[in-house]
Amino acid sequence: MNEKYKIAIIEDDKSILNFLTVSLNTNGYEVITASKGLEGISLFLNENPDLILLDLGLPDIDGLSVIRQIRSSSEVPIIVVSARGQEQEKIEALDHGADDYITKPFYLGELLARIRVALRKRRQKEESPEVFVLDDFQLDFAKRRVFVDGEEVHLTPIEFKLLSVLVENAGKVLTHGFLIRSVWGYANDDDSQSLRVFMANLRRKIEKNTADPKYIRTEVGVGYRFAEK
Amino acid sequence: MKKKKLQKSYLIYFGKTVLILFLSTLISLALDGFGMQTANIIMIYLIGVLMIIVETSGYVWGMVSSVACICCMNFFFTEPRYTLRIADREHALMLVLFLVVCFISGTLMSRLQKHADEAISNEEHARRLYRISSGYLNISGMENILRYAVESLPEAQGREGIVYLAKSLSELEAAVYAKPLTSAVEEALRETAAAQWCLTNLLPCGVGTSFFVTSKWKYLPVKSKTTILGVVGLYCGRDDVPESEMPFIHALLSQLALAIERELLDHRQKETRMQVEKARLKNDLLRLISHDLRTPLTGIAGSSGFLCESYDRLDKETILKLLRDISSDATWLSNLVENLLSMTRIQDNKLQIKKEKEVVDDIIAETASRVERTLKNHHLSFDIPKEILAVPMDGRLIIQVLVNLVENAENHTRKNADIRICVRKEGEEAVFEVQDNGGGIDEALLPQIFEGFVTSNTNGMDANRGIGLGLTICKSIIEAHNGRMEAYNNGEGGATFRFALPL
Repeated sequence: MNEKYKIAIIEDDKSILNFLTVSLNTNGYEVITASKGLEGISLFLNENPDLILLDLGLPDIDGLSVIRQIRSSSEVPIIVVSARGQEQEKIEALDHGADDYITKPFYLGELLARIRVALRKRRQKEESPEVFVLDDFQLDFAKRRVFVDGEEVHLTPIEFKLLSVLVENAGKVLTHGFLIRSVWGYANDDDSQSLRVFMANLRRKIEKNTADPKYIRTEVGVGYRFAEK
Repeated sequence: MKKKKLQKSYLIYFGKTVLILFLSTLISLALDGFGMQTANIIMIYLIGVLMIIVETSGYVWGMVSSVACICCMNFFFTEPRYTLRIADREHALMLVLFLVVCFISGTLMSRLQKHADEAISNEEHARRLYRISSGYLNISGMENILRYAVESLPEAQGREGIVYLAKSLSELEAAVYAKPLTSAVEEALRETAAAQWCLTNLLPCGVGTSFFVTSKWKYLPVKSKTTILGVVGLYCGRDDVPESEMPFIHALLSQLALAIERELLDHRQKETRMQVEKARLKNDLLRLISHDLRTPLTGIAGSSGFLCESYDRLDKETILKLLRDISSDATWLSNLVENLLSMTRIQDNKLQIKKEKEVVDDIIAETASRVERTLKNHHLSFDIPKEILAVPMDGRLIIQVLVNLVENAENHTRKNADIRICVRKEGEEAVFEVQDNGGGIDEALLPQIFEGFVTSNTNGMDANRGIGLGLTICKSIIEAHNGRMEAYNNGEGGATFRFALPL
């Protein structure tokens, strides 16, 4: 990276804030911090960071309001940090415009990977590749063909659409709702079961071992994510 | 129907009266022929009148017949005979006195009769009361008590009933009435304001009172010594309940009050017992938590403290080892906290599970990624069905169960043991198994292995930390899904933990 990316961390717990600041600095990012929601919003407005790490459990205002405020004027990538077991919050955050999430306690490696993905999305918004390649997997958008390990995999139109949406957003978690809306056009919450079955079928066609998937990862209760480079 | 009955008894009484009069006259005439004195003839007529009073069980016929007797005696036996005139003044007096005697005996007779009738009726009431009260003794459950009340009321005193239990001093629960629904009860259901009034004012209303006079029902409060328990309605039509029946009805209501009170007390007692039990469980839980938290925390505090002090004097190997220990203790603590949070949700009597049909692949994949980091010395493999199996479950909780089971297997088996997760469909169930070949479970512990924290500390070995709590939670989660869980030593030299979820 030529320029240092600026990451804003909005987190109220001191130790976590410290740990994040040090680790991100070590990994080549510039870090600015805020420990309250309102502080965080003004930080964003003044400093114009490249990415925001937002803790959902802030003392003053609700994490969702922060997202809404930021999204009203910017498409800056937002990664929310939530406690394990708060699926509903995560889904709401994602639906409100957050790009990704990570659950506490997390491993630094995972966080760094997600930060990379989120930043890349920003850069690559204009350029959409004709062919997506990742290890043994190949998806040709133009010709609408998929290859795994050199062999073509035959997908139904819906399966292909699902896969393309995932691949276009590779590395990013997509909620059930988002996927249903993208592929079927309407958001019917009761239908996430059919989505699951579709995904399971898709995995069986693409993955060698569906219990240990390489490409399509499930975030149980939240949605799905396609692996990134 | 009543009129016909009246007419029938009318005829019978008329017949009886005439017959007895006739006989009396006949006998008297006969005796007179034998030269009997008039005094005796009076006695015979008196007997006749008394018999009429008894037979016709009433005042009226007796009086009518006594007048008839006087006329007969006057006609047949006093000078001048066969006329209704009386020559002798004494005879006139005699006839008047006769009338007086008849009057008095008639009154006495009828009062006696009334008392006898009342006594019989009271006895009948007492018997019914006894039957109903012994009925209440055998019933439990508020619903059953109220239902019994509405079914026994008509049987006891012939009127349809409706019962409202009081929810509070100002609110009534829904009405309880006997099936099938009759038009009278429908009327009552439309005028719940009357019952409501009765509740809040603690007074009867409806028929026979000055409130809600247009109603055809009479509403009575069901009171205990300290409070009002409900309202009972009796269908009266237009006529009020007779005063003489009220004591019986009040007795019935007191029985109902007693039964209701008993039920409420029972309920309160059960709740108190539950609270005591909850408090006891909380204490046990706190004891366990303290112990299980202390151990890893001691490790973390010790290792990190030591590192801070002696950093310069240690080699990289040692430092890394200490740091790794700190990291794994922290992970362990984090899992414990997860388990505890689930535990508190269970302890509140209801485990909030949200069931959705989850695909087995997803569940296994997530389990695998969670345990990945800790699986240093073991081999984990999977065996899942080829067809897509979607099982209704709370995904996160089942993943927690699987993670717990795999981690248990890791912690309690030898290094390099194999751990395998198998899933398959068996009939109407999805069966999950976590198997290992690393040594197995002590047979003595096996039957109590899910019993939970109280027993897991008996040997106090810190190395066995957490086994109790994790398995108890697993079992509770599975049971909350209406599934079953069991553990046994398998044929491969290790243990298998198995649970089945209904499809």
